[in-house]
Amino acid sequence: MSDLNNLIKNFFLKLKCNVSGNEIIDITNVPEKFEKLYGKNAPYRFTFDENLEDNNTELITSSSHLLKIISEYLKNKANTTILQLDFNEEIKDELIKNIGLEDFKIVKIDKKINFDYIFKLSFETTLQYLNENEKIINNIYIHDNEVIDNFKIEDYNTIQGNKKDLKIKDLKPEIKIAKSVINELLKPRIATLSYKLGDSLKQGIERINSHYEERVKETNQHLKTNNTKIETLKKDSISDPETIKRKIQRVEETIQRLKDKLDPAEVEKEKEFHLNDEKHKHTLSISSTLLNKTIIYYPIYQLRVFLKSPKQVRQISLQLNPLTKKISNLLCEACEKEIRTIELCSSNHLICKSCSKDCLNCGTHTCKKCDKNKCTSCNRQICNNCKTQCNKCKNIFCQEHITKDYLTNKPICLNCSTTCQKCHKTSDKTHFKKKNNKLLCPKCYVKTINPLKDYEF
Amino acid sequence: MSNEIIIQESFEDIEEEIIVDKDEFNSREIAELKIKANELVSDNEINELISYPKIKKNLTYNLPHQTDGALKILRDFNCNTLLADEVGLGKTITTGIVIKESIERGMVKKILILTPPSLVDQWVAELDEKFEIKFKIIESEKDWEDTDYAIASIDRVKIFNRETGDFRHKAAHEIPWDLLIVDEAHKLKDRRSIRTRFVDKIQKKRFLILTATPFQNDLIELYNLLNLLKKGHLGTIQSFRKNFLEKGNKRKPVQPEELKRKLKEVMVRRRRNETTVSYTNRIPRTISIELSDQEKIIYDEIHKLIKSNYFLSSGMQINGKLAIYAILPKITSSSKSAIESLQKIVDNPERYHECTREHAQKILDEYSNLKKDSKIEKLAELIKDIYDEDRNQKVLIYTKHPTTLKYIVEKLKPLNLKIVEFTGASSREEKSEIIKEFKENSDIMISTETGCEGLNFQFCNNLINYDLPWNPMAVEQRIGRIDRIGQTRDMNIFSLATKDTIEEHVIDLIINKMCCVGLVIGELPVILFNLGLDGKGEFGSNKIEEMIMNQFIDSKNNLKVFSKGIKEIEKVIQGGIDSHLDSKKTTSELLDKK
Repeated sequence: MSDLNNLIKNFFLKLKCNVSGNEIIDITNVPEKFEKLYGKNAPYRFTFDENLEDNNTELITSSSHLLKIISEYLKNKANTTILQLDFNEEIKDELIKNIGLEDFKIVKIDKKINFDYIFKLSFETTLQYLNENEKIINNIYIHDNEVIDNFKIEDYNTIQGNKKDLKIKDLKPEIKIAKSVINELLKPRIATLSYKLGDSLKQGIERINSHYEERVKETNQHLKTNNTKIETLKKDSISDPETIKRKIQRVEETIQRLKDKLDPAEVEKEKEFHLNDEKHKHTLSISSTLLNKTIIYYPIYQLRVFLKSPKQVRQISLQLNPLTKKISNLLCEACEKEIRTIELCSSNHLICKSCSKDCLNCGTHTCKKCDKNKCTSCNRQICNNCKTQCNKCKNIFCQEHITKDYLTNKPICLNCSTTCQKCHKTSDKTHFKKKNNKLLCPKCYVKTINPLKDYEF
Repeated sequence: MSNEIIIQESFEDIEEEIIVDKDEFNSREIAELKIKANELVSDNEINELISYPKIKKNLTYNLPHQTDGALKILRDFNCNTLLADEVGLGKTITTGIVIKESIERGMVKKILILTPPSLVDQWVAELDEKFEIKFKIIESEKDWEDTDYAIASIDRVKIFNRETGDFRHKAAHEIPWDLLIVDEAHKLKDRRSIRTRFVDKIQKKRFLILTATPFQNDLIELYNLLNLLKKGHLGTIQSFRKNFLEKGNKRKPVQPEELKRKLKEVMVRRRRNETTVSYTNRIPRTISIELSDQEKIIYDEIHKLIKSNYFLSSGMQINGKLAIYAILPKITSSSKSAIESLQKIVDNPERYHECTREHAQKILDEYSNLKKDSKIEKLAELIKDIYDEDRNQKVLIYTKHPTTLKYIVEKLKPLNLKIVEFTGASSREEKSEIIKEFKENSDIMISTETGCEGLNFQFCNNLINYDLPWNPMAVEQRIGRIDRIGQTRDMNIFSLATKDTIEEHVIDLIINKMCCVGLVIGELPVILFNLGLDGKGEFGSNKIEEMIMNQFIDSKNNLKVFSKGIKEIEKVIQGGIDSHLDSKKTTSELLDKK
């Protein structure tokens, strides 16, 4: 079925008319308002094939009055259309599809919705020159103040939108952008038409120029002839001087009239006026009308996703754009780059591959964010499980470089501790004392002084 | 001057706010339909009249020569042409179609029409009723502001102030018009005239010149007209003389075929015999009324009253002309309207002097004793005769006054004929109903002329002027209601005239010497325009009407003097008719003969 056929059928169906037939369409039950505009009462019988045209069947072509009337009928309809893109996919499925969950499972999703907008501005541009008319329709899509080329509303399911969902009041910036795009798009056609009109204008200008040149030439010729006449009269020695004088006076009057007629400034002014008129006759008028502005909006999901693996539990925040399928705000907590795979270090950091490291102590995952988990003594990266803080100096140490204070039973690093030369136990070295050239822990030291007494911590 | 093209770019009425009507027609489907419809409409080239179906219903007849002509003007000439159709083919309608189509196609936004004074209202009415376009009449200089569709009497706007060296309506020259139309443009034949200079100074993208007689005595007139239209098309005036004029014969071209070829490039002309339009004749019939002695006395007293006894309460005599203009038409329309007018004088001591009121009362007393009304009796007789001849006829009776209208209705009742009344007070719908009633069921329609301008009664061929306006254009309007395309029979134009009174002479002048002399409808206004007699006179009435009034006043009740004066007017009119017919003949000889 042709576009034209489709259009006519759909239009009358929208008017809630009875529409039947294919190659010949019969239309009844037409609203009076349309009949009045069309200047013809229903029933209508249309065809799009000239072979089927007869007295009762009207042939519809792209230049038919009917089309013009349909266009006029719809002129003030649908100036603004609000549409919502309708996404049917489940968010969970989208996430599973788009994120490498490894051994995590999605336990729960909390959802908050914001809307994003795409504006479709449909312009009709009429190029009018001489007695010709050209119409161009341009659909401009704008998102985030930029023209987008790869979007077509026809590719999506939509539902009627609600003005209440819109957080915008006008389309001023978008219309401004669209206008400049339209101007760019029209440039090649304007150039072609200007060339065509220029040819015709040239002929008109030549006609007017030559008319005025000829007029001036003719008047000058008259002047010359009359001047010659005066010269001849002056040389006349036979006729009566009074008669000659009168004749000369008459010729002089003629000369003056001719001079008045030929006032160069006036002639030039008149010529300029007509040349200007000719130029205006060849004006190219370009007029663009905004036929429709469609505000297309769609949800942007702000999600809180609860993940669980056999070893870990974690809640992550991210943003899902169902139009682009793009997940954003899912960042490596170490380098803050976008990630697509869920990986947690032993400290439960969400990390990317490049930020992931192995604990040199136990071999489990750690990350750059865990950089502070380095042994102060050997500088090795260690995981959360393997790190111990010295109770004395508060530094982090791997298990190789930390021990336990036998007196307090708290971790203490090798720097802060020493071994009793008597009991060979380790403790905070600041509590050690020398006796008989031996470094003794407080307990042993007390024993050396009074073997019956125990050290009290 | 460079050949650079002027490019005008605009974005129209862009609504930036988000306004959504609660309408089912805001859906995506409708938006798509709307865009698709605009995408598919293709009217790049003018191959048909896309606006015609819209206006067809307003036009009484679908005349192919009018639509073909409009299409030709638009397609082949881009509205830069001389439309020289023979009179009566409906140049106004053809032009109306051109205007409507140009607007519909977005070709024009600003239009100016210049017409003879008497045709301004007619143009405005036709464009409104038939083409649904409202034109603004330019009266003062201020009217040019913000006017897209302007119409003006060329005589009104051409006024030139020699002291300032400016046209009074120079504002017209500052507007770039998309389409300029000059009706009856043969008046532009003199290139030095103020009128021609005014038109030549108008900026125009398209120029449509209308005249059936582009030249009369001299081919130079034709040159001047075409030089206005397309500068240099026929060369300079000297080269035109050299190439086309035969020495000693201003009317005959030396190269007729070459001239015709050049004319064809800028002119559209159709003759009546090329069209389907046929014409019937207007047959003038004056119905003489013999007044009774009693009526004669009343008639004389009325004339005495308004000529010499018409005083204000202050004692000042009311200006003769004004008084006559105001009271004469009413008082002479019918006995009923005379009584009404006289009673108003009697009842208004604040306005009228005692002696005037006494005189009026005296006439009223005469009326109360009046045994018969000869005029209404004659009308009844005439109608009876018409129906005796053929019972299936229709009769349209005109009167100037609603009072007389009612009186006629009352007096014709005994004839048992179906009568409908028609006045300006009826609404459009009521008017349509009355016309339908007249056409289908009634015998007689009685109308005031204000009621039925622009309406068509071509199914009726009997018109009775119960009283007669002294303005020939008003009479022409009356007759024009039945003298339309579609009239198949000759038309009887009856006029009631009181014997041995001025009425007889006025009817003879207006009916027999102007409206029913075999001219085609539309020719009389052109002739009066050519004579400069179609406009308004000193007292705001039609110039001819004022000329007759002046004769009436100057004649001082002397019928012979009045008759002589009327003959003078007749001579002027006849001169105009002769000159017009001569123009037609010479134009046809040049343009139509093979």
